[in-house]
Amino acid sequence: MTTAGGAIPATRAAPRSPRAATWAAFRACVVRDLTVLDKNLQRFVPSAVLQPALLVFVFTYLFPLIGQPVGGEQGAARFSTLLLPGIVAHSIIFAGIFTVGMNLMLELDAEELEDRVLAPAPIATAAVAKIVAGALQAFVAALIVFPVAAFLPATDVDLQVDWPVFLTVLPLACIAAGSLGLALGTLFEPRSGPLLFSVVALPMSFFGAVFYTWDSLEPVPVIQDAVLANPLLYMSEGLRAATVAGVDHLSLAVVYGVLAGFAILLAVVGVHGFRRHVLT
Amino acid sequence: MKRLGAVVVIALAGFVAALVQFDNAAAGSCMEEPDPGSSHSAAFAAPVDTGQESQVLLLSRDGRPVSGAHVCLSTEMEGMTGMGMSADAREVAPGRYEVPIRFPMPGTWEVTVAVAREEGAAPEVAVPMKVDVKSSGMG
Repeated sequence: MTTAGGAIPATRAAPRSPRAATWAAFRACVVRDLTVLDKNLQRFVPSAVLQPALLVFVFTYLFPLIGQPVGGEQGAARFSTLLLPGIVAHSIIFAGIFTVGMNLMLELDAEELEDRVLAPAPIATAAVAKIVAGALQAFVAALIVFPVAAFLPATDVDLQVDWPVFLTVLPLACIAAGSLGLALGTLFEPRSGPLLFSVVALPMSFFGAVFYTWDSLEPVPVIQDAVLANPLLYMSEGLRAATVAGVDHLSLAVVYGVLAGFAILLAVVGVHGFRRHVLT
Repeated sequence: MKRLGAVVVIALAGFVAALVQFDNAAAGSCMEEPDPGSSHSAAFAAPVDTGQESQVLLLSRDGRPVSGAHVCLSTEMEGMTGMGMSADAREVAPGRYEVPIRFPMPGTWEVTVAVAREEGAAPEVAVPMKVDVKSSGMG
C-alpha cells in the first residue's frame, strides 16, 4: 500500500507513563534473573538439596544410628523436630547470600548490569528486582528442605504447621534473605567470596538458632544477647513458632518486626551500594 | 523457563508429601498444648532423680484413679526447650503408670501428660505438671 506523494506515515507507539515503564523494567529484570536461574539449575538444585540433606543426614540419621543421638535416646525426635525449621531458615539465608550475593558480585565485576540500568526506570528498579528474584529462589530452596527432612531422619519429626504464621513468616524471611544478598553483593568483591563464607555465612549459621532455640541459650546470656543481631535467628525462631507445637520461641511480634526491619535496612544498604557501583 | 517450572512443581509436590508424612508422625506423638483447667491430676509416685531409668505416674480424675487410658508424657526442661522428650506409659496398676523416661539433668522440668481413651485416639486432655529433678550423685 502506498500513500499519495510516496510519503510514509510516521508510526509511533504511545508513550508509556513512568510508572508503567518502571513496572515493565522491573518484570523484565525479575524474568531475566529467573531465566539465568533456569539455565543454571544444575548448580542451584544440588546446592539447595545437598546442604540441608547433609545436615539432616548427620544430625538426625547418622548420630542416632551410631548411638550418639543429639538430645539423648529419648530426646532425639524432639531435636529432629526443632532442627527442621532451623534448616529451612538456613537454606533460605544461604540462597540469599550465595545465589543473590555471589552472582551480583560477579555481575557487578563483569559490568553485566549496564543494560538493565539503562532501562527507562530508576536504577533502584534493577536492585529491587534482584531482591524479588532472590526471594523466589530462597522460597524454592526452603520448599526443597521439607521432603529431605520428612524422609531422611531416623526418628519421627513431629511438625504441626500453624498456617497463618507459616505463610507470613516464610515470605518475609525470603525477602529479608534477598535483601541480605543484595547488600552483601554490593559490599564484597568477587575475590572475597571465600571471606564471605568464613566471616559472614558460617558464624551466621552457627549463631542463628539453627541447631537450638534462642530460649535455650539462657545459661549463656552474653551469647543470647549477641545473637539478636543475627537475622537468621529471627527466621529460625519464626519458622519454629510456625511449625513446632509447645516450643518456647521469640515473640512473633518481635520476629515480624525485626525481620521486616532487617529486610528494609538491608534493602536500603543494597540499593545504595548497587547505585554506587553502577554509576562509577 | 520450563525446567525451573518443573523444579518448582517437584519441590511443591515434595512439600505436600512431607506434610503428609509429618501428619502421620504427629499421630504417634503426644506433644500437646497443656490444659491447666482439667479435672485430671497427675504426679510422680516418688521423688525423681537423674539416675532413674523409669518413673511411676499416678493419674486420677476428681480423686479417682484413671484406669485403662493411653498415657503419654512429653517433657521439656524449664528454659531449655531443646531438652524435650516423650514416651508412652504402661499401666501397672489401676491409676499407676510406668513411664520409661529418664531426666538427664537436675532442675525443674515441665511435663505434659496426654491422656487418651485408647492407643491411637486423640488425647482427651493434656495435664501439665512440674517436676523438681534431683541429681542422683552418680555423675
